[in-house]
Amino acid sequence: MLILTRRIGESITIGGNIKVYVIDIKGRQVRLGIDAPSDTHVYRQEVYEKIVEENRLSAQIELTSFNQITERKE
Amino acid sequence: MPNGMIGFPDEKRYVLLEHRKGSPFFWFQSVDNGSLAFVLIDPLTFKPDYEIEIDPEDSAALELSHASNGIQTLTVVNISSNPPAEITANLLAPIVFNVSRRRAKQIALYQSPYSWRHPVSTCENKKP
Repeated sequence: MLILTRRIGESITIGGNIKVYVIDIKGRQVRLGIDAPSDTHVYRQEVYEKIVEENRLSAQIELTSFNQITERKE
Repeated sequence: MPNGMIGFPDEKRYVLLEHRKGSPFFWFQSVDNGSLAFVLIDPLTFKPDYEIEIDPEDSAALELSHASNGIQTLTVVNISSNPPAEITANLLAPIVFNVSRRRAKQIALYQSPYSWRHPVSTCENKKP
């Protein structure tokens, strides 16, 4: 992992078309500004992981067991 | 679906199949990977006041500017692992469809009061 020190107002460039700015630092919180192409998706890590987990679990639902649950309720 | 489902970037083409005639549930079946399918539901069938805000970049990706009608939103369904099995829907990462353009995108909502596992109430499982 590359570890850099930046100050407020400074930035880093990733791969030529992604820029990450340090906008503000307050205590233990950092505000970042991110310029990236629209096809590059930027997610908060914990949000991304939760969505992937929900998707993964949904993809594991089997037709037979889902039938049983919905038949019981419909 | 140019970006695929979040976490599943390789599968981009899907078909939407009704679970059963008249059922609010759908199977979002990957065309390229027969073993990959997600269960989806129209959130309006159990949460009629569900609202989302689509940011300009997602709107552009979906080519929504010319399609004020023909937008459909579906949410990812899960079943709680603890008995009794409860059906839930992830209202924070809906899949927005531009029906006429046959494009779809799963979007992450940040400024939203909704739940990852909103219960799909049993008495409203049927479409009106």
